[in-house]
Amino acid sequence: MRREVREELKRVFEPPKPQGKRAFLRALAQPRISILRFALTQLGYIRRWSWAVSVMIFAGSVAASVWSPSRILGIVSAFAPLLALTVVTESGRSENYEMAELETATRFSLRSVLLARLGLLGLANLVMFFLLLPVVVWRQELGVLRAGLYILLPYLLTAFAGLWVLRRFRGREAVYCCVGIAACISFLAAMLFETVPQLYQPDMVSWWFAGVLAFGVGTVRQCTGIVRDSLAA
Amino acid sequence: MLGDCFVDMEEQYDKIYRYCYFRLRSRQAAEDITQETFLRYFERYQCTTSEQPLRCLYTIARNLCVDEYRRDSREAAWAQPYPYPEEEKGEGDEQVLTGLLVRAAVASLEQDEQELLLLRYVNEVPIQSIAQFYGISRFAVYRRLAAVTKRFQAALRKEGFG
Repeated sequence: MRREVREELKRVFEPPKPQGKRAFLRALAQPRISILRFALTQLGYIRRWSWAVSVMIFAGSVAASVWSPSRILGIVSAFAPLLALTVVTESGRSENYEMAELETATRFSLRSVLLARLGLLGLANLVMFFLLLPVVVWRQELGVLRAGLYILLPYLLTAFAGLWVLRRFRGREAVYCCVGIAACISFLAAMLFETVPQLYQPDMVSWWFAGVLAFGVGTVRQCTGIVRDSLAA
Repeated sequence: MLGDCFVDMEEQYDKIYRYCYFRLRSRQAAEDITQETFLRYFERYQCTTSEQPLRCLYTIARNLCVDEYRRDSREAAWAQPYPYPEEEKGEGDEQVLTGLLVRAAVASLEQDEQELLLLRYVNEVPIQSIAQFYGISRFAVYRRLAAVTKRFQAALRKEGFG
């Protein structure tokens, strides 16, 4: 069909101007979306390397439990900071790549996006800890509580320190700093397990517990601080 | 796209309104039904639907228009002429003449033929969505569209166009 005829067709079928369009479109609420569905959409935006690191750590820990069962706790607690690193770097990603404005301009607030991603990665790490815990308990002949504390402390320390750095420094330097912190804590955890076994005695459990509690509270405060900062941005 | 929840509402509003006006020839009724169509679409399908959004919108609009016919006995409404757009008033004779010829050619078509022209050439609905809307295959849509276009062009020639 000729272009001029098509154009004329459009004019022929042109209705009178609608009068309530603007008011209707303004008033029409966006379709609701469930929290679960929103979280699932965010799942796709978490970088693949974050998942890959988690899977590699899990596989490495399982392999270590076979090849070096007596060192499994040291290995898992040395890997824990790397897991925490995936959460920390994900929380600073929108800042690093200057996506904050873009994300806040879309349908969901940056706060919701950050919370969903941190929550998803944290949940994934928690699941991994729960899977690894029986292996550690079995191989090291430890109680569940003690094994959990030994793994959680380096994880929470890394998360706390990394988030603290991200809140105070901007850009890639902050990420490199987080990587450095995670590497140091990882190395420290492995070294302490090998060289200072007294730290892992039952009478030190209260100190470990205090440390987990302190860094747990600190991590939660840093997370809420990051979310608050995103609102102020 | 509508299916992704991020609706190009303004564009689709205009198109659904145009479709409703074609069926009802009443600005107020067409606008009411357009708004009702969107409300029902979001209420029923939201973002979880795997259905084609355009098919859903046009189907809801068509059903609401049919309800409106029954309520107000508007069966013959589509036969009423369209108002002339205001912009057309100050244009050259040739374009006005073309407009009149096209109007006459459109008016010589059956309602379902006019509807197909409107959906495809004016609202630019994809063939796939038209096929879903009518519940026929894409090939059937192509065949019907070719036949309607042929009839329309024959009517144009009969009116003395080109």
